[in-house]
Amino acid sequence: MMVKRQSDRSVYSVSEQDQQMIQGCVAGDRLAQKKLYDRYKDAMYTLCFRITNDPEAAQDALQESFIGIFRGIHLFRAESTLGAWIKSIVVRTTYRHVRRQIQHEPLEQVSREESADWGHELDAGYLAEAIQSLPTGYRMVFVLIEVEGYSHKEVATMLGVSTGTTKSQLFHAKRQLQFKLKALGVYP
Amino acid sequence: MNEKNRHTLDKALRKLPQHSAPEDAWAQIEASLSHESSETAPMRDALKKLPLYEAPEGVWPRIEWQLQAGMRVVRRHSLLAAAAVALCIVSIGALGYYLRQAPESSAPPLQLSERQQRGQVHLTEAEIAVYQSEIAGAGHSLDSCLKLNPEAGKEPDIAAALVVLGQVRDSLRQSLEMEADTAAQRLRMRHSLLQEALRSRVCP
Repeated sequence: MMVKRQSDRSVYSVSEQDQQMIQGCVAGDRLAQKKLYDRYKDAMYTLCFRITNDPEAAQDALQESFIGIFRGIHLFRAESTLGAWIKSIVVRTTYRHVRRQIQHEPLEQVSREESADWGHELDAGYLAEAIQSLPTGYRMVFVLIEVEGYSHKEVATMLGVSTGTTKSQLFHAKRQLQFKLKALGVYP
Repeated sequence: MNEKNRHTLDKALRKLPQHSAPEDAWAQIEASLSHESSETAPMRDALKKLPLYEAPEGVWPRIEWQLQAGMRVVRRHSLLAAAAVALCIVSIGALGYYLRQAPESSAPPLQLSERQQRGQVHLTEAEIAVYQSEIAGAGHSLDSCLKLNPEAGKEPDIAAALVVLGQVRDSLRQSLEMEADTAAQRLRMRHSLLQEALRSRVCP
């Protein structure tokens, strides 16, 4: 069953249960809002924390994101999945929280993403530590592209920068990760 | 474009030459994928195992509160300060009720002219700054008390929080007199007579 179409660009089907939940949220039904929050809170908090690397900033970003989600859920058109729509709001909101910390590097031509050799096995704990130690801008682009699976174009659109910038940031992020992992003694 | 032209174009498009993919295309793709896979597989595996986090319990009450209030996003400290204000309002209301019930409070209510004479308490800028600083400081202290307290078996330090709330109440009771254009002003209007009575009891 599809969410009521107000645009013929709706392409994702939404289950009847989800449709009821969304309509409840649109109507301001607190139970429906709580249900939606409970479903996505941990995943979205994880995303907020990975980007901000600060529990308090992540809490504030999560809170602000869901306020925005509930106030704007009537605009959800099923042009993406509900989760993807929510995630895009969380990313934009979290970006606003960290924007001041990000210093965009001068554009540097990264013609082709250099592939990196990550050895035979990479410990997730060390990798998490290395990711959290990255500068905010690098960390954000790395998390969005490598962990969340967004394309450079999507990230560039969300952050309001060029794809050249995101490619450059990702390149530097990976290079710094290698340095960090080497310093931790886990890089080949 | 008329119907005939459209038909002609469609017919021509259908007759466009078809090309076969070069024989070695797949081999190149496969080699590239294998090469990439062998290099990035450890990273992919590790990324899947990155730690996940649970959203803190306190976020939903704040969201709910803001949705109810229809307010702009308020940060955690602001919310605690607002909670302290609410507590003070309740405290002052309760105190007022107590005074109304007390025998000493049976004195005739102040007349309007008398109220105007007593009027609003005029505080100096320095005093206002001190009160605002106290309120802000108490808000932060309250926040600290309500955080997990390792020495008390990971429980919020309620006793300390109550002390801070008491301090906040006292500070706010005074600051209510100076807020000119806020909800506190409206509260002051409602309770002005009560506060005058209270002040005369405390500082006769």
